[in-house]
This record gives sequence, structure tokens and C-alpha cells, in this order.
Amino acid sequence: MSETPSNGETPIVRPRRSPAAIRAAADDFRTADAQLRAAGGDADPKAAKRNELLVSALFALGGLFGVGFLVAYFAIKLGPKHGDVLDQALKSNLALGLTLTGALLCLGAGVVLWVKLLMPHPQVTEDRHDFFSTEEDRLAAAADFNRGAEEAGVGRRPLLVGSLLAGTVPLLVAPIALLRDAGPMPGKTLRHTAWFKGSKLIDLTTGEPVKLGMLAVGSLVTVMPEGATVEEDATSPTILIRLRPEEYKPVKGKENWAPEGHVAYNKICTHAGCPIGLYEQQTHQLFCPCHQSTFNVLEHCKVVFGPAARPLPQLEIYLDDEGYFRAAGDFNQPVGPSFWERG
Amino acid sequence: MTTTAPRRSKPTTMTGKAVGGVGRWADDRFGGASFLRRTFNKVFPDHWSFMLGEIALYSFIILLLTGVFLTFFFDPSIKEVVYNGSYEPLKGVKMTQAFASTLNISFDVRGGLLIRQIHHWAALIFVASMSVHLLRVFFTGAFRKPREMNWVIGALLLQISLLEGFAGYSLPDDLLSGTGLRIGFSIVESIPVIGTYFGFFVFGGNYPGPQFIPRLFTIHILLIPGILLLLISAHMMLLWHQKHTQFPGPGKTETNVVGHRFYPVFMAKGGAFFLLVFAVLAFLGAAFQINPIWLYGPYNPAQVSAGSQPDWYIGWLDGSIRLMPPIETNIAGHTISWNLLVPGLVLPGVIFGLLTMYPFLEAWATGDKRYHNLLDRPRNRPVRTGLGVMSLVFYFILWLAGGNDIFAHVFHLSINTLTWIFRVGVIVAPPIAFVITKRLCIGLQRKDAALAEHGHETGIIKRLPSGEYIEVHEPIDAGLREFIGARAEGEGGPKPITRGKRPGGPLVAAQRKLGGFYGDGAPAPLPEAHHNGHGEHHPEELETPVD
Repeated sequence: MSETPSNGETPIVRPRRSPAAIRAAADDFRTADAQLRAAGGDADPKAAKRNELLVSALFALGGLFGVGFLVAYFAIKLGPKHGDVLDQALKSNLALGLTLTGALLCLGAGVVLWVKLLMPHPQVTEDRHDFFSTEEDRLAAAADFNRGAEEAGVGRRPLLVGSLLAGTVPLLVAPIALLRDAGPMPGKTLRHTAWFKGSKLIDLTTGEPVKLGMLAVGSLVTVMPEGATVEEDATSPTILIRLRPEEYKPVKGKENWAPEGHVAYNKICTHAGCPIGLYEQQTHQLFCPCHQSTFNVLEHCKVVFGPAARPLPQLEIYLDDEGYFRAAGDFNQPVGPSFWERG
Repeated sequence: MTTTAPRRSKPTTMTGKAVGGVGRWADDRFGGASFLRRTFNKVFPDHWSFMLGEIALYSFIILLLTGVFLTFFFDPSIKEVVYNGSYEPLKGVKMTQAFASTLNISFDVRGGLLIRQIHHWAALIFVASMSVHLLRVFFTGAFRKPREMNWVIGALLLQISLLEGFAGYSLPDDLLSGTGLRIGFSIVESIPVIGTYFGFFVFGGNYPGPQFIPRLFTIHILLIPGILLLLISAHMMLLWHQKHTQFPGPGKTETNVVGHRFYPVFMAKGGAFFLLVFAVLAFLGAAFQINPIWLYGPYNPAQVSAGSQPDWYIGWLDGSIRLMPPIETNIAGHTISWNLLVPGLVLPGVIFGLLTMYPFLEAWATGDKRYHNLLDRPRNRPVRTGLGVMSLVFYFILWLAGGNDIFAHVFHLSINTLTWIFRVGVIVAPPIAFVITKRLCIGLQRKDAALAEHGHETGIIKRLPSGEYIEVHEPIDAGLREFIGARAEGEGGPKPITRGKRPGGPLVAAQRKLGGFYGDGAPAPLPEAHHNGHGEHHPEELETPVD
């Protein structure tokens, strides 16, 4: 490219740094870089001495951080005798982590600089040798294979091959059979919860049976059947909500399921089995925080939004003479997520 | 520069002699000096994007190291205990031994919290670096023949790693992970015919299952790591054997490798990179809290916390479950819970199936049986790049949907509206992304062509004798031209067997159609440079084709 205008052309705008100058600077840089790549530290022995010191200093600093790690390990003690447990743990974590980071960083950076500044690292070219075989080798291998099969009589003695395969099959089934005792048959397990006829409704947090008057209108409590624990009966948790009596719209067969406006619904989402976590008083909606299925309590926990396809099963409850709530029996349908045999 | 055999000479220094002695002793017994020599001189190409897989490998090593430490203190038992350890707020709370021992690791074992946090961060980075590595391999076409099987192994590694991560995340038996397991059990239950049996056998009974945490522990620390180790070894051996791909550029061809020797440069750089990856993970473990199970509390089937999000790599599955409309059918007394089966099993099954088989699908569509050692620039394969971006958009919308409750809360939006936006978006946005990406690729190709034809702008404005103003352009140098002009058509490799007449039929018709679809937008050869840049022609000359 021409820099000086000729034949009457007038340059009227020039960039501050001419392309030539930029190119020259880039060329200088490339030359220096190429020298470093080709010769490493030998390119400039004086610079190499300096760089050697720099890299060694990084390695030494890494060692110091390593010592710091050991000091932090022994100096910061854990446990209640040494101050606030969480504070101590976090302090120890920070000290150990940062010293470890420092040590690794210094050593890693040192090696990188070693390569970049002191090791020759020229670009080299290597041929890709074919790793596949020649056609002759392939044919020869196939011929050898066939010869072996022929000698073993695989083709000629079908009885041998057949009986070998037949003899192996039971052994292949055995490991599957061995896994049979990995768990019980589902049987009717998924159809039942721990609720039974006459069970009191036990407040999960206090462990006390729920009595009329304990719940204010608009509030709710998670209840379990008597004698059951959430750890063992993970599908039994049930929500007891107190509505205003007129808010409960009874349907046929469920006229008496809401004594004094108290309704009980299984807490396990019919979608993926999370416990329904949130109740919005204003809209009377139960909300599952896992996948946002929303159930309307005023419509017998019909699904109003989200991926759940079925309402939450309702538990029939009644008030006994002493004012305790009791279950009239188990849920009348399987609770929780759907499964093939659910029907 | 070509490979020159290193000088052969008798060692003169003390260390040289010692190494020689040990080497001689070993070679007398095992042989292998020639193998070592080939290994030392093996050439690895250099590009920043080739380090993504390395990050995954080093994270895996760090996972093994930190994991072994954790097994010394973790007790995978669901035996119920009343906590009486050092963390005051949870004293007297009933929890499983698994949760209690995790608290113990965090508060009573020096360095325990750090190792736990590094382990968790390493798991997140492991999956992340694998994913980005996969994208690099996809968009540059590194999966093409002869490397299809290494893609398959890589895809399996990713899938198994998701399982491994989920298993590890579930072990402490905290409130968050227990909720995740409950959802997992429900997904298993939704499998037609065998779902309940399978769930009961795996969990040792109905959820939560008395056997599950100990079994998960064995799976997490023995079974899956073993499989991962095996597959990673196979992945590396194939990479070693087939040699690395490289980007096109000066001196780079389909039949050579340009880069650094394995020993000492590549080895030193690799070792340094391991230290640096470890340093980053240690820093994350030191300064960024992860999975503070003492804040979540022990698992309780009757409780759940708002804003329950899994680790990032499970987010897209959680999102797909959130977006699914409430569909369930009941035919002849049998219930199929489509709202779990489709987003939880069918969708990931189809996606992972397509992902794993992609190299074969593309090769079948394009009929390309050649060897490819030079990488594609994504813009030169507009359809593949479009499909990739389309899949990414699909994935990210599902991933965002996994946090729809957080978005609704933070931005004061209705969760219902937001869910509907995601439901529509996940179907509509990907095809749009495909079209836009393909167009962008073609635009970039044209930019390349213009650059090759006219050269760089120099910033110099000239006035011609005719009075016309032009900007002087400078032709691009040969190296750049080679890079942007490479079409990576592939060569070498065994000769494919040519069959006689190709059979007809609908499959072949489909293949042709797909081939046409794939070939659309393929770049033309790069145009020749104008000898003196843009504009130095008289108007009448410009009207005739140049050169």
C-alpha cells in the first residue's frame, strides 16, 4: 500500500497513528514474542535472570501461604469452648480457604510464567499419522477372525453355541432376582395412610390433640393421626383449616365433613408429593412452593393453577363429645402423586 | 517448523545420569522408552476453548480428593438422633444421623466446612465446564468423523454427572434436598406399569424409605464415580489416540497438528492450570457460602421452604415440571400422570437421546463420511449453529422457569402470568432463535467475504483526480485469509465404500430433504481480493465484474 499520495490525490484526513506505525509496533511485539517462544530464557539472559527471580518469588510466596494454612489450621479452634460456633467455623473456613487459594494461585501462576518467560515454547507441527489400518490389514484381520471361528466350530456346531447361550441365561437373570429383597412389594401401601376411624387430630408442632376453639377462623394447623410420626408416615400430614361455617359448600356425601367450618385436606401435593406450604387467607388458596400448584379450599381444593391434576383428598372429620376433632376413617382415596395402579 | 527429533546424547549432569539409570532399569523390565518418547513429543494444539474440558477434568480430580475426605466423617444413616452437637440453634432437634454428621463436618471438623464447600462448588463447576465444553465441541463440529464415539462418551458423562450431582446434593438429608428426593420418588412412581415397584425397590419401601440414604451413598461414592472414571479414561484415551482437532489457520491442515509438545510445555501448562482451577475452587469455598444446611434444617416430610430451588444443573428439569399443564389420564383403571412423566422423564429422555446421537444424525443428513480434523467456524454452518442456539434457548427458558417463583417475587409479577409467558415462550422462542441465528451466520459470512474482497479500512480518505472521495482499504494478510476462508471440508481417512445404485424410498427422500435443509446457507468460497482495495475504479469499471 502506498503511504505517499501520488498522481494528484490529496490526503485530507489522517488517523493520529499511521497504520504503518501501528504495524511496526505490532511487528516489534511479534518479533519479541517469537524470540521468547523460540529461545525462552536464552532470548535475553538479563531479562531471564529477572524473570527467574520473579517466578522463584512466586513459588516462595506460595510456600508462605502453605505455612499460613497450617498455622490457621492449628490456631483457629472449633467448638463451643472457643466462642460462637458459627463464627469460629466461618472464620476458620475463610482463613484456611484464603491461604489455600493463595498457595495454589502462586504456584500455578509461577509455573505459567515459567513456561511463558523462560521455557522455549515454539509452535511445532506434527503429522497426523493414520491410525486406521490398511485395507490389507483389515481383510487379514477379518480372515484371521473367520479362521478362529472356523477352528472353534462356531458355525459348524450350532448345538455348542446354542447350549452355551441357554446355559448363560439363568445367570443373567440371577442378579435381577437377587435385587428382589431390595424393597417390599408396593401392595396396598400407597392406598393407605396412618389415619384410622376415631383418631384424634394431633397438632404436629405441639403434639397435642386439636380441640374446637383452638383454631381461629382463617387459620390452619398441620395435623397427624395419633401414634404416627412424619418420618414413618410421610403421606399422613394433613392440613386442618377453619373456615366460616357458611363458606363450606357441602357436596353430596360430604355434608358433615366440616364440623364448625373445620375442613381437613391431605397436605401432600397430588402432583409431585411436596407438602403444600402456603395458605393465602384472602383467596382461600393453598399453594405448593415446589411447582406452584394452587388449590382453592372453598371448592374442595380444586386445582386452580399449576401442574397438579387432582384436588387434594379431603379427610372426613367429626367432633366428639369432649370437643376433640376425630377422623371418621382413612382418606377415601390414595393420597399424594398419581401412580399406575391408582385407578 | 516441523518436529525435529530431540538430540540424542549421553547425559552429563548428575540428575541426567540418575534419570537415565532409573529409565534404563524401568525399560529393562517394562519397555516403553519408545512409547514415552512419542508421548513427550506429541503435539497439542493451543486454543483457549480447548481448556474447557480440562476444567471439567481437574474439577473431577478435586471432587475425588475432597470427596474422600468427606467420607471419613459423613455417616450415611437415617437413624434418628436428637442433635446435641455444637451448633446451638439446632440443639434438641430430631434429625437423621446423616444430617447430624454433616453438621459435625461443618462445625467440629477443622477444614470440614471448607472441604464441603469446595466439594459442592467443584460439582457445580464440573457440570458447568462439561456443558460449555460440549457447546464448544458442538458449535465447532469437533464431533464429526472420526470422533463421533467420543461425543457419545462425553454426552453419557454429562448425563451420569447430573445423576451424581443430584445424589450428592441429596445425601445430607436437609429440608431442601429431601424435597428434591420426594419429587424424584414421585417421578419414578409415575412410570407406567413398573413405577411403584421400581420406586419401592430402589427406596426400600414407600417414601422416604428406610434404605435410601445409605444406598444413595454407595451409588454416589462408589458406583457412579467408578463409571465416571472409566468413561473419562476412555474419553482421554480416544482423544490421545485420534489427536486433537484444531482451528484452521496458516500452516494448519487436515493432516497435521500445530501446537506445543506435550513435554515439557503442555504438561507444565496443564499442571499450572490444575493449580489455578483448584485455586478458584478454593476461593469459592472460602468466600462464597454454598448449601448452608444448618439454615435449611433437617428434612421433614411435612415441611417445605418457599423458594425451593435445586442446584443449577437440575433447574431446567424443575422448570419443565413447573410448566407442564395439569394432564392426567385414567384408562381402564390405570392412571398415567402425564404432568410428571412427560417433563420428568420423556422430555429429558428425548433431549439426551437426540444429544447423544447428534453426530450420527448430522452425518446421515449431510451424507458426510469424510474425516474432519479442522474445526468449523460456527458461522460457516448456519443450520447447525441455528439448531444449537435453538436448543440453548429452549434449555434456558426451562431453566428460568425453574425459578419462576423467585422472579415473580423479585419483580412483583403474577406467578400465573409468568408461568404462561414461559409456557408460550418455550414453544415459540426456539424456532425464532433458529431463524435469527441462521440469518446472523449468513450475515457474518458476507462480512467475511467483504473483508476478503475489499480488505481492512485504513482510515485514510483520498480524493481521486475525478473528485471522488474514497477510503483506502488494505488487503488482509494471508493468515487471516486462510482462517476465514477455510471451509473445513475434510480430507484423509479411509476411503468410504461406494455402493452402487442408491436405493429409493421414503427414508432416502427424507435424507435428501434433511441434507438440503442442512446445506442451506453454506458459505461460498472466499472471493479474491481487489488488487487495490475499495473504490479505486471508475464507475464504468465497477459495473463490469471485477477480476
